Amino acid sequence: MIKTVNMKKLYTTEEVETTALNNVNLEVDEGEFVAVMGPSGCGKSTLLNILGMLDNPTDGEYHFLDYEVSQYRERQRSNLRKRNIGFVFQSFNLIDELTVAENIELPLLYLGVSSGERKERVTELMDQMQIIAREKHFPQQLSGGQQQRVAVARAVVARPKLILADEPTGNLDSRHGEEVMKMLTELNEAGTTIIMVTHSPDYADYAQRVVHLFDGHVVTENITRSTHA
Amino acid sequence: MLKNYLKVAIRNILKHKGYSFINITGLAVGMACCLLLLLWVQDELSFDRFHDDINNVYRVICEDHSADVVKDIAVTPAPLAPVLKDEIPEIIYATRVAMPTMAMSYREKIFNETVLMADPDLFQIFSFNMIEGDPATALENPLSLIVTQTMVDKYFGREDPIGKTITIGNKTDFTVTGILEEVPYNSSIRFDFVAPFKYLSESEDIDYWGAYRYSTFVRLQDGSSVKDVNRKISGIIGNHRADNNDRLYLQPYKNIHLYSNLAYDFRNRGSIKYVWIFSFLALLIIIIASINFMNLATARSSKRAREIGMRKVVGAFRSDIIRQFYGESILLSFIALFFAIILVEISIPVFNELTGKHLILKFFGDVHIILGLIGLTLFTGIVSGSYPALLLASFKPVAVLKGGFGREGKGSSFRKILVITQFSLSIFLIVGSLVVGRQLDYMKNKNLGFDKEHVIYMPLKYSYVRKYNILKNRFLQNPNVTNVTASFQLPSNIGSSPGGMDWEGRPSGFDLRINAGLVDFDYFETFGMKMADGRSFSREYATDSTAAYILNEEAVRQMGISSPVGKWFSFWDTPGTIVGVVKDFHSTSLQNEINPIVLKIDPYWLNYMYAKIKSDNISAVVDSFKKIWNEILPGYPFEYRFLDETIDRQYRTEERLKSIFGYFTFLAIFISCLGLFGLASYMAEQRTKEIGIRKVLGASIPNIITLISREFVLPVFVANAIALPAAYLYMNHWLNDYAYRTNLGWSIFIFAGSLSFIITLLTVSYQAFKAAFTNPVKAIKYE
Repeated sequence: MIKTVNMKKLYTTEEVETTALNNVNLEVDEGEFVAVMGPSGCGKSTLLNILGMLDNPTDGEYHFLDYEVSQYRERQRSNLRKRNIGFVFQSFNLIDELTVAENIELPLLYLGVSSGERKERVTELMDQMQIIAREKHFPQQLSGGQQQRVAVARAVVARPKLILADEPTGNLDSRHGEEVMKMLTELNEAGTTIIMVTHSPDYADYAQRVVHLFDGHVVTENITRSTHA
Repeated sequence: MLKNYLKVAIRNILKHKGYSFINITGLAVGMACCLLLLLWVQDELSFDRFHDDINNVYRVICEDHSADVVKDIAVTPAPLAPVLKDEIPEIIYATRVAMPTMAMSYREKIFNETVLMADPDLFQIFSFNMIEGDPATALENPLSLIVTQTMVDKYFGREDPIGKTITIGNKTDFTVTGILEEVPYNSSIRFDFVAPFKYLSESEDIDYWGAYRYSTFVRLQDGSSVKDVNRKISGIIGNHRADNNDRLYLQPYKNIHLYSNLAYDFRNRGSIKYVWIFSFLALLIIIIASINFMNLATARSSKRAREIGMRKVVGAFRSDIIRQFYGESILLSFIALFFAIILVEISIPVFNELTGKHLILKFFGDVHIILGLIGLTLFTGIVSGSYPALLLASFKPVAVLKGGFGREGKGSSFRKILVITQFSLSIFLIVGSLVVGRQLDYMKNKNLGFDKEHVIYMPLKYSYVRKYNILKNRFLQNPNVTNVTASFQLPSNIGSSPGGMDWEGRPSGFDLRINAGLVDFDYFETFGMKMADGRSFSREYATDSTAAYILNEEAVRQMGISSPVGKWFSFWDTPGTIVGVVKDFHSTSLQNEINPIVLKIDPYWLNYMYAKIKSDNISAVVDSFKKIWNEILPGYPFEYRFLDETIDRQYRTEERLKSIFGYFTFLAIFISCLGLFGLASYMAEQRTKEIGIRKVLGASIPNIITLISREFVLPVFVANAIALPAAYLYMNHWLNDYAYRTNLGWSIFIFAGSLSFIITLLTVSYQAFKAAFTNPVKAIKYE
């Protein structure tokens, strides 16, 4: 599903050039659950942004599904992304002015899904995630755990093939962290590919494979036993 | 999707009430100003457009070659219209028009009214609609009269006027044959009654080609070439009068209101210049208001950054985001429109007062107004939303979702440019209104070379001018009256009179266009005009009433006569002697240079009678005049005016410009300040942490106030540097239209510049003080 070949990302400011990613070669198959680990500043988030097509690599190739997307324009990336990729962020990134249901509905709006179907899918998801009672609430009225459940619901509502999660548990206590991991595992079991950046070895254990990044390089790839599965 | 945008927009408006208030107030005030000005512009542009066939209606203009300087005049000889209609196939209708003021009486009611004397073709050329009577026959009888609706109410009340008799000039009875709809207020030709032109044949020779006194209007066949017609009519007067080189041409009737500026033209014309100035002012104000929106929207962009980032992540294109934010600004503009309409409704009576118009804003039923309002709103929304939409749409989700967003939000340098633009425009307006005001004061207070105070004047009619001397003697019996005199034209408005002239020592071939004033004895004494040489007219010299001339200094200078007194002079083929030279006085508006003038005694061509009154109790004197008048001239209404007021009214255009400029400048500054206030409060909020740290590190309160204020003082400084020179150049150009103009002193510029700083500091100071006095502990904890 994903294949990068000698992928590089440089950040250039006026004086310094920083290499965020250096010759990253990574393959992820459909249905995998991959954790990306590494110290702060090693390029984890940069990698995730490029994989999620929020950013382009400076050099190298990036194959997503059957497309070589490294040179795609914003509009092309956007088109591909909205049909195939869902995002979960550490800071939830819910829109304050929209209710729970409206936040979840948002991706469907940009996909042009009809209003009847939108309502159906959003309701079904809220039910699944046990946030149906909070349907009309605004994000500020929810706990962190509830907010992240809404964010996960938003990430999956469009039924993406790939979910990219950037420290999804980072702002949560352990109980809510576990909860989110469970949700991701369930999604993975249902066939969704997941790539997750995390600091926590415990949560990385949920993945089938852990990729370690250091200074922009992939240093090791471990197969975990998936103890939590 | 639209619903989603709308929800977010409305929730944002409600959530940030202060910000929304500033935005909506600014836009609403701006749009209200813009609407008022555009209504004015629309009204000016609508003049005379109510005539159905306006594009084929023309006025015949005469290029007058009787003097050295060729001059276009709006009057033509009486026999011209019938000849044009007979000889030029393209001209299907033609009428001549005279518009005298006449005393009209019906039973005990008696007033002076404007009577339009015209041929029956009038109704074929213009769309003055008759309510009763047949336009084809209503003017057939020379003693028939058509009455406008207002006059019906004024003279007849509930009576049916058809067939009733109105007496004109206390001697001739006219029978009412028709009723005319009210003449629209935006008509160049305005009148109260219509009478047949041929009635004039009773008192003058209407077949005479030598008297240029009437307007001639024609309607061309559809599709005629004006060029061809002009070629055919050009020399027509010459065909009927030997040695005449005057040329005729057609002037489109629709251009008269805004583009015409001829001798003997209609009064109350407009000027395309002011249409442009007002349109420009409207544009400036809407730009100033839009800039508020842009500034606040971009300053607050960081608040919306996460939303935009997230929308992009889930699949929004750049164009979706742009559309969303355009939508928001347009929505806000429509909300502002609602308040703007209320503001317009409240302020329109005042605006009408200022402009002397009768504007109304009718929303329903008038497609143009509705389209105009929607257009203005869309324009405002799109202008004000443009930069924010583009800026916000350019946000990279990668950058904003991590929360690593710039302190001031994006576009802070562009915002400075916007503040500079806004203040440049405001400063420009301040200078503009100050200069207009100063020029007006200058014109009103300038010594005209004659005394206009305590002079009242009364119009005289040819029909009773013979009674003038009786009136004069009776008026003079009042001990409070120092002088009484009369003249053909007001001393402030002595126009040109074509006519030949000759003088002792005239270089051969040298001619001069001179303005002629026909006056009575005591003229110079009444107005306190000083003689530069010789003497004024005196009854002690028998020849003074027929063969004496007085020139002004300018005439002597232009004619190049040395020691003119006693020299031979001839005007209108009447030889005589120059008996004196009067010091130059301003015989026209101060827009014009002083012209050469010749003054001559004339017992009959006297249109105005003046009385110089010494007592302060003028009303008692006026009452005594009225009594005498009614006794000597029963059947003619007594009317009087103050000379100084009439002269001041020459500057009504400037007066209106001054007050309009004044009000709109104030509003523009108000809108700018609203935006500045919003921006300052936002900036103080953004820098709470910085200010806290600075205070912990030892910054004093004045340090902090300076810190915040400095951000705004610098742009205003730059705005001054741009606006003051620009205003200097433009206003200097504007003043160049005036032959007598005030100076653009330093004081205006220093005042405008200081004012802009004071206003800025006052606006920003509230936020600066608030920030400076915040407890730093609170500020640091807050983050």
